[in-house]
Amino acid sequence: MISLYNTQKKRSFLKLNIIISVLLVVCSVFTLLLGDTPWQLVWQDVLKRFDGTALPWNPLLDERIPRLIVIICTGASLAVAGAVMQALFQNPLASPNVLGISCGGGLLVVLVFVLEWHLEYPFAIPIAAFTGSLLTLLFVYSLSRSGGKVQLNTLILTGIAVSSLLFAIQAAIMYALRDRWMLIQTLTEWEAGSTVDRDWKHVHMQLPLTLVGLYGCWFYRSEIDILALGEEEAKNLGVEVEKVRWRLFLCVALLIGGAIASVGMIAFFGLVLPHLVRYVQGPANHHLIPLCILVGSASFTAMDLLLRMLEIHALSIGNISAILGGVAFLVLMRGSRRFLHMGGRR
Amino acid sequence: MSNILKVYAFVALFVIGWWTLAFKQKSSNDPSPTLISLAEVSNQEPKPSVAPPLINVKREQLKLALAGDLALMAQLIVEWDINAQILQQTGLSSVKRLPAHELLRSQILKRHLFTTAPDELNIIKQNHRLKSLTDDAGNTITLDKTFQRYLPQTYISASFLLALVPTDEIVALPRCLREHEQLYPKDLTAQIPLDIDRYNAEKLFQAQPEIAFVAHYSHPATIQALLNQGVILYTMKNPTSIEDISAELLQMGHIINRPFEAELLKIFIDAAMLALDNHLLTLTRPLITTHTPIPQLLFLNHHQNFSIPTPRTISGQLLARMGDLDISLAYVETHQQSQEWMMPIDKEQIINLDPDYLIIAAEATQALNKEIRQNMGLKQLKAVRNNHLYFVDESIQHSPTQYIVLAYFDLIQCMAGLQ
Repeated sequence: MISLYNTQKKRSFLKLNIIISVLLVVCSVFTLLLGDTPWQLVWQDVLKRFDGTALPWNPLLDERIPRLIVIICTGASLAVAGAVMQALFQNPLASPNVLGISCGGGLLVVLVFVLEWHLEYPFAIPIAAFTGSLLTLLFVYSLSRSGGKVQLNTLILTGIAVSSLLFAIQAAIMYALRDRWMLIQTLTEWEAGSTVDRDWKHVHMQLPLTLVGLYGCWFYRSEIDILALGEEEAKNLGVEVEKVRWRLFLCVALLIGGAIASVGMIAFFGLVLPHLVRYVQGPANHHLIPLCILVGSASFTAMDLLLRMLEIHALSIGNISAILGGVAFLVLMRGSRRFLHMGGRR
Repeated sequence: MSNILKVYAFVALFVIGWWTLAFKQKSSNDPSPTLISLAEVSNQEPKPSVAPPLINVKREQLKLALAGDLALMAQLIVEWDINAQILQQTGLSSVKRLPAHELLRSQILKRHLFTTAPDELNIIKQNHRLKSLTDDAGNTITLDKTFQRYLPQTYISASFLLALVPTDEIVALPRCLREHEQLYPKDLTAQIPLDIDRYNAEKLFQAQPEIAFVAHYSHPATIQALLNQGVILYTMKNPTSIEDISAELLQMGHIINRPFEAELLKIFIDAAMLALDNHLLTLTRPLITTHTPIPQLLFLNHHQNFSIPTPRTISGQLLARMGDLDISLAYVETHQQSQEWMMPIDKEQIINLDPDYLIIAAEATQALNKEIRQNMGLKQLKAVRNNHLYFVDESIQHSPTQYIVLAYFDLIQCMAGLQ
């Protein structure tokens, strides 16, 4: 009976993986095809690369592919970071935004923009984003710890408080510089989150961080499953809790830092997506992490594609994801309340 | 070394190595910093003129006149009209001239301002001055007395006042206006020590302004504080065209009892724009007569990303004046984004447009120039390859004041190499 159940689970996981993979491939292909340059010209020039007669810049190789890589990395990073946080803190509300990690990364990036370091040193942005994210995560974590244990009931409140504080500092900086409206406009565009004009520079800023972060989360996916049971249980089952947690913190900071550096602030994505995946697939992180990578990439790519196809210039991808994510989160909350009212019967 | 340290060292080396390879390589390929700036172009010797003679419009002269040199305004208006007549005589069609009555009016105003006795001039002004006017918020301001203490809360009003009244009549300046030293010299703004700030309410009260120029976007608390202090408020329109700027200028002239000065400045703005149009005409005419394709100009703003101004903006209207040269507005039109203020444009789209001239309004021009010249796609643009990449002062381009003339001058100056 159990074996039949496991086989069905595996089949459903496989089916879901195939569906999402197809969606990702379709969206990616459309992203690569969509552009102002006729595809025929683009392709001819790509072929010319082999005999060295091509133009030094090609819309596909130098614009659309790097943009697609950035989009895929960002979607996967945010979704996985959210899933890991929720499992680590055993709290469905834990996410990079709610715990203030994005705000921490964002604050240091704002400072980099203000000091104009990014003009001379492009890698100052990912370093600032990573450092800010990690420091904030550690700060929230240490504040929530009491008696050697993380107080889960205070974790979210601490995160919200730290997030508010960091946001207030950022707002104060922006208020103090309100008359430098060109800088304010730059920061506003960055804060809104955008995938416009992402080239290899952005790929280089993000990809190493994302690769390490995703590998780390994937590597520890079994431990995350055990940690989700609680610290004591994890210790009893032989997990080196402190070491694994610290490494996962580093991975989350790398993922969020990379995403913030290349795309800007994307709210709600990391909170909602793991819920959706868990809702469909179940809570096992063993499957959740790889699936989050796929679903995150596919949904972010689809969102960007939609925005481009509809030529919506008034809103950025950050705005859209925040709106959609907020609505989805409300729906999820309402759904879970109804689920509780029904005594847990679906 | 323990295994744990090895793991961390490997990860750190991986990331740092990646960044070193990715970013170091680029910096070693840096081109020499040959920023083709507007200043550089302005300093170039003017090219030898071909018949018909070029209309000489000098930036410094323009700036001086726009800053309130009334005699220079009147002189330039006449000079430009004579130049336009010469161009017409050489057979150049589409030459623009001020309407005769405006030209005449400018000279009458000059005589009033420079030859009439002060008392007599005051009487003429009082007779000419409106008795009341309605501001953009619908409030009627009675002009039964002569104000002498002004509080410009907006850049446009401060800019007009600095050009039209002595500095001792201006009680304070908007925050950060004095940073724009390229328009408002430090020695001029230093004469007005007070900044308009919400924290300066008491100091402003002590300065006893009689009338404040505010806008719809002014902070409600500031407006309320001024009202509480018994200051008369005049709400200015947010100008979105040169006509709006002129209309606000004339209204302000009546309020500050300088109707003639304001009118002369208004006529000067019109005359300068026409002179610049004619200048552009002399640049493009040889191309038309020799059937040479007219080069294409793309104008971009740059903050975090590139964008094109639409016809709704003043920059867009300046581009519209440039006619066939400009391809920016046509691009906005084809994407049906005319109702927006700005239309984002990505690098692929810019590369597809491949303009002959690329003008960018930006702040960090050195860094942007470097980035463009390093970018595999952008550095292949005709404009970049032929050194027709120009950076213009963003604060001037977007300034809804009399200095919009300078913005247009800067655009045309970039095209100076057209011949």
